[in-house]
Amino acid sequence: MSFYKEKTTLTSSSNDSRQLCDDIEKNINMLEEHFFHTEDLMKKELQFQDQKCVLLYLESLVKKEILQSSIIEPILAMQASEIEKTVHAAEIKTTSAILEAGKQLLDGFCVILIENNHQAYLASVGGIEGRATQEPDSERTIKSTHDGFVEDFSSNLHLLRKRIKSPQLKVKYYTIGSLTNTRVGIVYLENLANKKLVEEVERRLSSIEIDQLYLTGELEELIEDHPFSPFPQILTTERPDRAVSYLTEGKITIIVDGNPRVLVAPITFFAFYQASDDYSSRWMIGSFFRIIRIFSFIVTISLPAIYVAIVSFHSEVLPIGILYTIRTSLEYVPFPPFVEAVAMQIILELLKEASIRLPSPIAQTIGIVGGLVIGTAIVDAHIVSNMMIVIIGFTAIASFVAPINEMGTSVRLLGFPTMIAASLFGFFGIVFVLMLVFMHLSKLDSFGTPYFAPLAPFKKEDLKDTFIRLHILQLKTRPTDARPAYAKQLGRTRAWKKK
Amino acid sequence: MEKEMTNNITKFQLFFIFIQSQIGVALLSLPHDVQKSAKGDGWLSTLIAGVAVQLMLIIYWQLLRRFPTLIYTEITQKILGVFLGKVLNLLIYLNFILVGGLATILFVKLVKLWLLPLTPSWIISLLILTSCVYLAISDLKIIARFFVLASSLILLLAVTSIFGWFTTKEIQYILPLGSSGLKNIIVGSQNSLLAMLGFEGLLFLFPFIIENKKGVFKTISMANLFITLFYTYFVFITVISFSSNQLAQMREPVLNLLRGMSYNMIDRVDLIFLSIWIVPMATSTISYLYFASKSVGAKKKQYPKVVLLNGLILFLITLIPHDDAIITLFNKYVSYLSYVVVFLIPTLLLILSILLKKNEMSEST
Repeated sequence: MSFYKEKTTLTSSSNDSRQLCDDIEKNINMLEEHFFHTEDLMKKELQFQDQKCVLLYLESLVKKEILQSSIIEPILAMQASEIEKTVHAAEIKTTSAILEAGKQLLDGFCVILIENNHQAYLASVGGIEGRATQEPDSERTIKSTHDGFVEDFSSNLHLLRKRIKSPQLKVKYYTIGSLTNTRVGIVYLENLANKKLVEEVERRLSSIEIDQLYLTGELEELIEDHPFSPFPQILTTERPDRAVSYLTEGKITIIVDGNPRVLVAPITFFAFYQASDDYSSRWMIGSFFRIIRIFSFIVTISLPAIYVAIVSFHSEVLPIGILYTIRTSLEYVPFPPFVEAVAMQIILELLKEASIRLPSPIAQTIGIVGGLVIGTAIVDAHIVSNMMIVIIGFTAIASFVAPINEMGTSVRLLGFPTMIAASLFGFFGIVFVLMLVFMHLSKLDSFGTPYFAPLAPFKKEDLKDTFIRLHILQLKTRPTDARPAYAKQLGRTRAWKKK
Repeated sequence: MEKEMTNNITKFQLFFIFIQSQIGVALLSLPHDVQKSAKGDGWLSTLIAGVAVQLMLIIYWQLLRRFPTLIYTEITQKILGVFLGKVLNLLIYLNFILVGGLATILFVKLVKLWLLPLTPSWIISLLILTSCVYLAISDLKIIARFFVLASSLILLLAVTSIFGWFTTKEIQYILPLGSSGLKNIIVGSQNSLLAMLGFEGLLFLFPFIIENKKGVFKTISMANLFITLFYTYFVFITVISFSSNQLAQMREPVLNLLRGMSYNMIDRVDLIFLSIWIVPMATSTISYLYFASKSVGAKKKQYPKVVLLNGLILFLITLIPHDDAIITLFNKYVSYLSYVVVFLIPTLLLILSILLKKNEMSEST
């Protein structure tokens, strides 16, 4: 079907090169044909300066009150002689191309056609209300701001502009998708963002040829560097404060209309383990949480594997006391540890997946069934050992620690190959897989920035805000991963004390 | 050969590439090797070996300063002409592939002996070489990134070795100093010289170092100092822990040293140590794979294929039976080859280039 689709999209909208003429009836007809006589294209006839005047709009995209008060009423009152001066819309354009008029109609404009005039007047009367900003469910915080991006493009831009009140904040629009005509905007700080980086993002965005673009996730897959990597190379966030903090590091955010998730590029691995709360807390507390999160990464990727390796290959690593505890819990379990571990992991994933989409009262039931019934019964039935429940539970909790959920899931998935290798080759297998993972991380780039910086390549100056968050006095320069135009971000500090 | 701006490494990275190429499988058996002749004075042998490496580095430095944008195999052709140069390059290539093969064989043998006694060695070698090829196939700067990252493990291992101090120590074993005689100490240092191989990588890395005019010599000297001290430290701590009779019976005294310890939380620190040590051992193989592939002098486009092919050759080398007699023989011939490629040829090249007054600017003969 795809070749057929391509044909129709090309002929329907982008190839209509007809122009408006002086005959109003013909003009109306042309526009109606342009929209294939869709029934929500409304037509209202009025009189303006003794001439016939027709209003065309897509009923579903305009706000009736605005249309009434700022277009229809002024025309009826007829205070000025020209349309531009009569109507009160915020934006008025003129065009004579059918294509342009059609495009604007889809953006929530209304077209005003006047007899014996080959110009069409376009006035913005759009404004379908979306949902109000609210705290994103996937990135809750305790101490930071509680607003989040929504589906509406301009609201999202508003949330950014509200925080950076500077003319340096620049937006560039792209329209992607020959069917959906989705508005995509890249936002960056003109004086700070690296010029080459901006060019690269523009180049990648403008090279996209696609029929439909609904989701930020799709756009991410279209512009990321390494599509076959398990690690996300562009950060998606629903938090405006987070997006703004990246903007001020010289990074670029990409907003897709109709999506509450905003893309940030370039990004490093460690950004996925940072949260806005780190900066709201005292620096020691923030640093402590960061170390805990990095620890969670190590636990998620390797703990079940280490357990499997120790139990099946290297039990001599454990001193006799601990060995007894583990062995007694394994006594009546008929399966090898690897099968136990995979079974538990699958049960856990099923529980999680089942409870995500259910309404919360039912999700609680799932929690009880999962946690209490399966958890205790599976041990009593000697299918899985107690120790394995502890290990898998610990791992699961650790994997949910990552502030950006996507990374936590990626790492949890990487736990499986590590576990397989551990069950086949013990410690050697674990080291083998981890070595491959870290080699892969060293190889990755995100828009020309090394992904595993500041560890690979090692950058001493960026360590201050990676594993730990030092006091703001020490954060005199920005992180260098986005290669910002200038580094200094802090001038005189605590000068009140130096007297 | 193409030298992109993006493919450069910093001096900081050079330091760690040095460390990662040199420190490898040999450290674990080093005390055993040096004590064969030097007995309790083994730790003096490593110091002497460090001095010898330093002398070689001076020669390298003098040579490379004359040809700042050429790698080893290009310098040979420049000085000796295309034909003779290519013959030498074959020797150089053979050296790197064989030393790499030897390192991998010892690596596989060690893993099999300590961690996976029942797994067939070809599987172990396949896994090792898969990871090595995966990294060696990429740009030098990425290799450098990973090596710096992996160096944190060497620090971790150095810290782990502190546990080694808690077993009983007998300072008598090294006394009186120099009792084995100068000759035996020097023979011992010959053994540790082999453990220090990897510094010849400079001959391939030099053109890619950012600002390679200044400070490089300082960096490589620091790296050499670090490695010499690191080795001496490990030899010292094992020599005062075990008598030479004990050492003669231990293949990997460093691991045996850690094996003796037991704690409430963990037993057999040696297994943990060895598992982590897999990474520095692999990086040595990666270096040799990289140097061997570079010495082929392939175009940039064909480079991945060359690495893949060399990985396959290394794999085939590791298939030879891991019989002690065969490996000893292999080791012997490889070390002769190394002496030629690492010590003799660069020295001759330097002398020739001085006598013929050749440097990079002069016309190729």
